[in-house]
Order: sequence, then structure tokens, then C-alpha cells
Amino acid sequence: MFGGFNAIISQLAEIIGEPFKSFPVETTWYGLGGVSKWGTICGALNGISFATNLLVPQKDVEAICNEVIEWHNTTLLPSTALDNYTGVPSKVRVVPGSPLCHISRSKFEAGKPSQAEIAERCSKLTGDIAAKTVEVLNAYYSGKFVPTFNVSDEVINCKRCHPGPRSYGMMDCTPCHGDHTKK
Amino acid sequence: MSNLSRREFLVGASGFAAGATVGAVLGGGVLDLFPATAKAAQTSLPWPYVQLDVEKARIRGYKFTKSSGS
Repeated sequence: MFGGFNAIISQLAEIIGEPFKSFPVETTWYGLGGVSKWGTICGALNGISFATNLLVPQKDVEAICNEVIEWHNTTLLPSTALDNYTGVPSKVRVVPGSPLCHISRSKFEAGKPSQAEIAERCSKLTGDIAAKTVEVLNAYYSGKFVPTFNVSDEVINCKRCHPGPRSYGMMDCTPCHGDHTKK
Repeated sequence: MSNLSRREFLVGASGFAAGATVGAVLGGGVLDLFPATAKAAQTSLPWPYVQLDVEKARIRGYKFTKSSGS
């Protein structure tokens, strides 16, 4: 979480100064491993969402977060953009399919990555997520942001019978719950 | 020349320091003791944004996570 958040805030602290400069960025350390290693929300996604909340009018926070989270869920990650920089090629790459650290990490480890890849994966992933967030924020503040996120057909199908109202969720339900409507 | 003992002098000096602190709190407010924090807390959202470097964000995201574990 610290990495994703500070990738953005540290740049703004250098360019703009206050209030970024004195913000205690260490307050985001709790987010590691899906909040204190509970495997819930990916720390990088948590961090960029926090940064987005500071930087975007409240009415648009959700749209920006949705865009980045969905991009993460549906993209082959980590990218190879940091391979040269780190000297560790990303051979095992997966589409996380979920914003949950536990699912994302389990899918990755099922691909039998090397020890070096394991050591690099979440740091590289955070770099990719921070880069995507800056891309989206730059577009937003240039008036070029066009939201592309839509709740998936799978989720819409589930919500026909499980509408909530308190069961928030835009994640694909089927990896954990299966789809009993297709049996 | 004053006839203050060393002890009397020190007691007086610490009293002045305590008084000055109380004065700062009452007069300028508690926030004056933590100007940087207060400045951040008093700024309403959203905070300002300028176009940032995408690749710099990628490298920093990587480095900060690698060094902190979070």
C-alpha cells in the first residue's frame, strides 16, 4: 500500500510541496498483504485508491478507482516493463481476476515462479498499478478520461437473485462461489 | 547585581518556559506547535494535481514496495 500511495504522493511532494510534503505516508504501511497479511484488498490497489481519494473530487473517486481496479483484474501482470530495471524477467505472469491479494497471489504461485520472481512480483505489480493510475489521473485532469468500467455479465447474472442491498461487490463471484445457474 | 541562587534561577527559567508554552497554546492555538501537520489537516479535498511521469511512478511504486514490504 505504501508503495502505490507514495509512488504518486512523493512526486507531488517534490513538484508542489505542501500539503504532500508533510503528509505522513507511513500511515499506509498497514496495507501490506491485503491489510496486515489478511489477503483482502491488494495493497497496491488500496494505496492508489487512497491517493485518488485525495486528488479527485469525491463524485469521481469511484470511477477512477473502478477503472484501475478493473484494469488490474483483467490484465496480464506483472508487465515486462521493469524486467530490465530489476534484472529479473517476469516469466510467470497471470491475469489476477480479482482485487483480492489472496486470489491474485495464489494464481501467480500456481504458475511455479522462481524464488527471484516471487521476491519481485508484488513490487513490480505495484509499479504497474501506480503507472496505470498516473496514466488515468493525467487523462482525468486533461479532460480526456473516458470511463470504460462496466459490471461484468457474470456479476449481473448473480445479482439478479442476490441483489443486496448490503452485499456490496463488483468482483466476479464465480471463482469463490461457482455458478449454480449453469449446472 | 541580583542575589538569585542557581536553584532560584533555574526554577524561574523553567517557569518562564512553561508559561511561554501555555501562552503559545492559548494565544496561537495548539496547531501552532505542529505547523506542518496543521497545514496538511486544514487543506480541504481534493488536493492539487499536476501531470505526473508515468514511468517514474512505475519505478517508485516498485522501489517503495521493495524497500518497505508494503
